[in-house]
Amino acid sequence: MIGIMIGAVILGYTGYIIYRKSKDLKAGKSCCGGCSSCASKGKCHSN
Amino acid sequence: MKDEIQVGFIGNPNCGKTTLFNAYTGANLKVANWPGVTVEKKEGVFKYHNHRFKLVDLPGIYSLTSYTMEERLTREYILNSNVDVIVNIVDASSLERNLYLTLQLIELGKPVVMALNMMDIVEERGMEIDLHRLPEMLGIPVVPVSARKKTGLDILMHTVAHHRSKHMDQNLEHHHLKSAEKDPGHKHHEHRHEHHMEYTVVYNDKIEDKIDEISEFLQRKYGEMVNPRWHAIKIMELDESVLKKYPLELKGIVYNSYEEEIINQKYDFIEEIIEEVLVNKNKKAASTDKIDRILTHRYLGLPIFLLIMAFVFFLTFQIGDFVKGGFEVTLGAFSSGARYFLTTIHAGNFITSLLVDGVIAGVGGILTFLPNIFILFLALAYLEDSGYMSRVAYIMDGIMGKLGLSGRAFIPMLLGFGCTVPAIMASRSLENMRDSRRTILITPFMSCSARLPIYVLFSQMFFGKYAMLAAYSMYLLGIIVAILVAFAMNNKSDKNVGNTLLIELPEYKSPNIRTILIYVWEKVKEYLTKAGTTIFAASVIIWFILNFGTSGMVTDMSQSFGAMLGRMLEPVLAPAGLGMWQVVVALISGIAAKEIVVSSFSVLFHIGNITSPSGMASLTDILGQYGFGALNAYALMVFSLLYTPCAATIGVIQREMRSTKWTLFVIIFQLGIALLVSTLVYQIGSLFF
Repeated sequence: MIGIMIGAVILGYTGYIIYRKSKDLKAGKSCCGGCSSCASKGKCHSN
Repeated sequence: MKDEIQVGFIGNPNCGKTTLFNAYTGANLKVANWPGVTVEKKEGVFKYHNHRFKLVDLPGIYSLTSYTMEERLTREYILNSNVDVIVNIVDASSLERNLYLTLQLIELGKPVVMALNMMDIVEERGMEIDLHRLPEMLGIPVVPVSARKKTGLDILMHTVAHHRSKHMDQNLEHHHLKSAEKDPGHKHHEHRHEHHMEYTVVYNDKIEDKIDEISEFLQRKYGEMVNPRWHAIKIMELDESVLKKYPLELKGIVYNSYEEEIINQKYDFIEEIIEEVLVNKNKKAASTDKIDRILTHRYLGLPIFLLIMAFVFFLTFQIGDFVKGGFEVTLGAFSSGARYFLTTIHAGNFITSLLVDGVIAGVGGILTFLPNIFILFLALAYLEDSGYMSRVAYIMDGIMGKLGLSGRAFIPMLLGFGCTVPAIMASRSLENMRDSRRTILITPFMSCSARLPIYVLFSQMFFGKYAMLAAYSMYLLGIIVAILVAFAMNNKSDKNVGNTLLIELPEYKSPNIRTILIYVWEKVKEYLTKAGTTIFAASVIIWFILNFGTSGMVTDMSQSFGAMLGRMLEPVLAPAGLGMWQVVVALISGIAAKEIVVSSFSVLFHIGNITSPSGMASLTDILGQYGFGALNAYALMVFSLLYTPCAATIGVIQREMRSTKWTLFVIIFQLGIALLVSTLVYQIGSLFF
């Protein structure tokens, strides 16, 4: 049972990352992170 | 009375605008001492007494002409926004150069307050600025501040609050002696106009007559115009954007551009100001000049830069590896603990393998490189904040010019040592699309920090005491390939329009600890975030494609989907010595993020702690069984350096190029170059080793 739960958490989190990344990519937010220090942040993020 | 006061921070590059903005707003905006760092305006809020100040940080500019993107952005902001007060941040140690923009800002007619920054440097040099005479000559308040030491900040905002409704509350006392001397027949006291009492900058009678005449025309034709004098001056300079907005019949008034005369007379006045307000100006400390004589030397500059970068990689390897030992022990213990725990709770082989061989091996393998990444960014931040990186751009200007690129194109390439994404974005500050596209094409060849784990791992596995040299050669190779590609493209395309690099070489200074720590922390955070997201997901996916095949879950990886895919592409990479399906799978997964090449090897060969001495020995043995030796490892490093950039970079290229065709071209072009160079390295190397 615990094994299934751990597996579900891993797969769920992986799915969430893929969903977020593809959503960001479609929205033109393709930065790899560290945006807070980027001078061009406004070009990718509205806030 | 308005509750909010909108304040625009405007000044030359490197005068400390962003540092001052950060000091007020507590923001952690990127600070750097080369142009193009602030490529857009940033907003923040500061509250002082009963006032709410909306602060806007604008790109550094030298003038208010409309030639560069930064100048256009700043000018449009001043003219079209509701800015109440302009805070003109001036580097007091370079007062003469900064005053040109000041005079242009005053001419715009909006309230201006001068923040005289870096007074500590002025004092260190033994110079003094007459803070009574300077505001008297300019007609605006002057407040000495130190953005770094956070002194004078409250007084500056106090002055802004008082000054917002009146922009010329000083009694102007100036003479424009220099202009008068150059205008035969007119002594300064013989100006027919009374403008000396009205305006800071007064030109000779000939120009003033024309300004008055055009101003009257403009007021008659465009009654709503706020500052006809400034518009008249711009029309005399034949400024395209003003002429387009306010078309005017110029026949009989302006026959040719008066831009040169107007600029010269402004500089005459600046000379006059400097003579009156700057005391002991010849005492300027010569240390920066002395250092620059060596570091920017025509022939020595480049070798010194290469030596400095070699030292950076020496630190990255030596100190990074020392600290990395602790990370490896922790990862080993964590991996063993997790396996033991999962076995104890009977989680099953599937989950144990997924978590330990997939997630922990993949993510943990990348995390152990954190010390190397930390040291690399610490060194880069130190070089940048000390003022050296601007010199590198200057040194490379000549070489870039010969390749038909603006010297400014090297700035994105320098940023590319950190991460290719912001480097690609920085290319938008180039003057034209052609330069921008060519820079985007060559910037991914610069070795970003994500490739460092690949170099560290394979060079240590196969090159022993020459590991650092092997890894460093990748950085050199990246620069060489970028230069060769730019050169090849230059021959085939039109001659360059001759964009020269206008870069200020800041004073050498002891780097600011806070600035460095912010920079390094952002990079470390970025690395950890990537490990916890992209690399996590990629490790799980790789584990799946390597443990599942057409018949379901497989015990032999060679029957997996990953192996099938790898075998299909094996022949393509075989000439480069990379004809192993495992290597192909690792390289494909590296497109998600380059670090994943390393985590893929962990997952592919079931090595939990790949960076530990035992992990590296195991991997060397396994690869050795396939005939994969030092030459193959070097070819792999070369291919990893040059091949298709990561997904984030591809995304940003698509957005900057605004063309799917161009983006596909970049991907295929880089793949082709990677294949060509790694094949050459392997085939030529095979003749000797």
